[in-house]
Amino acid sequence: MTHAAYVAAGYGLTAGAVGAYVIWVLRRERVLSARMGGNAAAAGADSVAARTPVDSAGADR
Amino acid sequence: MTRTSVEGVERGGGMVRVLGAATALMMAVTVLLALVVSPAEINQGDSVRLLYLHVPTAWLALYLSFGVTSLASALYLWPRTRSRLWDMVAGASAEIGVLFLGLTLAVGSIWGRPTWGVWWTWDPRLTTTAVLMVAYLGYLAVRTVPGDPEVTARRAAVVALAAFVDVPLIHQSVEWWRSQHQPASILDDSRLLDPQITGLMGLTLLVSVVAFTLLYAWLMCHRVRVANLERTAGGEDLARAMVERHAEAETAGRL
Repeated sequence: MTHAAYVAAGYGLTAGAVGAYVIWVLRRERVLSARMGGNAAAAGADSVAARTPVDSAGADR
Repeated sequence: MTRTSVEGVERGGGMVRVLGAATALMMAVTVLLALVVSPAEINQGDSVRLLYLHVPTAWLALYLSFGVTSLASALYLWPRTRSRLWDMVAGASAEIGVLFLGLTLAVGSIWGRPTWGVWWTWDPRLTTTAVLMVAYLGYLAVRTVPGDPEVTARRAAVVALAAFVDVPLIHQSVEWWRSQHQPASILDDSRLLDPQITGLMGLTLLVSVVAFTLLYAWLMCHRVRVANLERTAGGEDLARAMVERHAEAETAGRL
């Protein structure tokens, strides 16, 4: 192997590993943020339902 | 400070984006300097370009990441400063540190093959660094042990502080023992004001260290935010499970 090949291997490995980690962190952040946003929306909907006179329990009665 | 500090993690999105842009710019300048502008070294040839990765990743992992992990762990263990934020900071920093310590070892090994003729040797510097890698992998494993989060965080903080004892040993290993690894070029008492790397090579190394330091800061912002979201999501999952169990119990009571 030439020195250039070792250099390419080193830079390629570093770029690959750092890139993969960055993608994993950003994707996880986006998924969790969306999930928390969805939960917040659901919680908001629940609180609206709780204030509404006809809720699911009322419908059963 | 607990609640305010953790909520502070969620703010500052604009600053993080600016930090990300600065990191990308500095990384591009580093690659340009390291691969195009900087000359080959008279003995090492082109493989010297690997040192513009090896040294900054070592700085990032050994001193910056594990230093922050140790400081945050100490702040968590100290009753007056105990906060979940410090535990999250310690965990995030250690995870980044392990990634970059792995890269330090791997890139060092790739550099060693054309320069020393071997991929690996049980040299004091290399061996103590490998021990540190295992120690912080153990730290990350301790963090995943199920149980009371407070107890797990306390145990992890103790392991982090114990593991950090190896860092000064690594730093001094090239001075205390017969080592194939060269002594420090910059971070040494006698060489701090008279660095052994100058000119374009010194500039490239300096720019690379700054770029990797910015990368660490940017990664920390995102990783701590992820840790905070995971903690909140975990708490919500627990609350939802408790509500479901209560509902099941009430249904069973009616029957």
